Amino acid sequence: MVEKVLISGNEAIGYGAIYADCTHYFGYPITPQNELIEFMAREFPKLGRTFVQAESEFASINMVCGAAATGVRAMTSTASTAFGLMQEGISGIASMELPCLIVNVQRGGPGAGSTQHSQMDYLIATRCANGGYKNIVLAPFSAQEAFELTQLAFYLADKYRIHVILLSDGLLGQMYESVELKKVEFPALPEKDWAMRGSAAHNFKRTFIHNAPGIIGSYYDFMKRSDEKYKRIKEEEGRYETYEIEDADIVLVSYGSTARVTLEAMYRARGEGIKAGLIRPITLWPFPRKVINKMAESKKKFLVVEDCMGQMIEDVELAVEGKARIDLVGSMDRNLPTGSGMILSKKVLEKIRSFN
Amino acid sequence: MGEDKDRTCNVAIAGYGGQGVLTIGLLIARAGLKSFNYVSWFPTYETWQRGGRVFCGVVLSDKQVISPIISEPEALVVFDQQALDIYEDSLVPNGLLVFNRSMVDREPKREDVRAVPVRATELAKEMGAVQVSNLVLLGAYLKITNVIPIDIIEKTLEYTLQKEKKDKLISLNKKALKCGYEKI
Repeated sequence: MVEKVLISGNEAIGYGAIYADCTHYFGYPITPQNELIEFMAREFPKLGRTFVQAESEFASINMVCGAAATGVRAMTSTASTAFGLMQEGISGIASMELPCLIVNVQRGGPGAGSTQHSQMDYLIATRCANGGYKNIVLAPFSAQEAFELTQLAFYLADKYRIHVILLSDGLLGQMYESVELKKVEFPALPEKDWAMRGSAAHNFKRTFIHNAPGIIGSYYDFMKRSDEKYKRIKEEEGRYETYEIEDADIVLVSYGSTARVTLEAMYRARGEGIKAGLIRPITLWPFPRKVINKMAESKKKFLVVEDCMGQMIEDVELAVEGKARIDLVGSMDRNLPTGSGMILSKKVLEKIRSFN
Repeated sequence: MGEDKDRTCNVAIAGYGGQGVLTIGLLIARAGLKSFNYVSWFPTYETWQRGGRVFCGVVLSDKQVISPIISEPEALVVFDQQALDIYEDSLVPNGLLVFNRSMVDREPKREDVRAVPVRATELAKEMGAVQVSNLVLLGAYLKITNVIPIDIIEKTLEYTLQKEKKDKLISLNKKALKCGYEKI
């Protein structure tokens, strides 16, 4: 029988990491992801796995880099302002093509912003730091999905030898939901013959992982390999879910915890006879561009709901190619003009009505 | 349990930090998991150690919970005047309002809801601990709604307090729960 537990969205990521056989966690406390680092501090040592509370986020991302270079499944978790602090390390990881997981439980910004939820890191997560690399971004909308996508993240990381960002948010992290703890099964993965496991593991041949692809070795080979990898991921790994989309006149686009509120608003609008539908991107990169582009042929209105001043809306605009009207429900539509204010279904419903 | 497999209900609980708002919300959620397939508990609070507004919403359902973030609750349990001022308007028409009479100085404005006053703080004081006023309110809510049988809540309460190594608080908490349940 599958175990069913009541856990927070943050803990669900911790369980996902355990079920995915992640063996190394490095992190530094920050709200609103503290339930996750606490969970790891408690559970990882019990299982004989490695937990390190680093002296800073800069240290923890570099520890992840070192661990991932040996081929183990490694991860860290943090929140917005400290995700910013990790960018140099993440760019380094990209240059070394190291598979690992970085969890960002978004809080308000810019700077230290607020300790509460937001969705203000969409662009930094999908557009990345210096160096033109790309990374897979997964965005769960429930504790159950946080548990499952964490497992998927490790699989995709190993499959493509790439780092993956799991983009959660403070609301999702701190809410508790019933979760079925069921291991997700994936196809077999190739051997990590590139991992630095001591010369004996490589028939005493020297191995080398470095962060300067334009200085050491062939920059052309690196770029060609990366380009092919990114194209393949874009082609094969886009994930999304649609709700009541077939006959919809107005298409809502929303991800993460905000998609829950939006889904409720959509059903309420249907109850009033308004033909609303929802598309929920699960991968933010690659963005489900094709499906939105196709919808734009027949649908005339898109309403993007995200708790920021408009970030994902840029991807929707690119996908729609000017073929339909687009409007935003954003942070200015929160019920309270404070850090703890949030977008409620009532507000989304009002916007649907007026946009219709 | 089990005959009607399409149940969904929600409750919002509001007060200030230290009153046990989140605690009874979690208790409903944990106990709810025994008879509902899907449960969610959603908290908001300000960054204070004590004081500051606190709110939580619980959804119990036989189907997947659409949104844990409740904007218009069916039932509202308020611990103090300010919570009533903030959340009274959000309650759905014909909803249930359980309020702490001891800390609310006015009558509810809404005439389209069922308002139930409970002298929770005073009753808790009479039992010797103002801290259990949250369980008095919970008892009253359970009696009126019958959402979860009280014995399941009691078992969950026992289990939770044992796990937190607070065994000696079990009898007082159960007494407060019973008190709210019986005084309605």
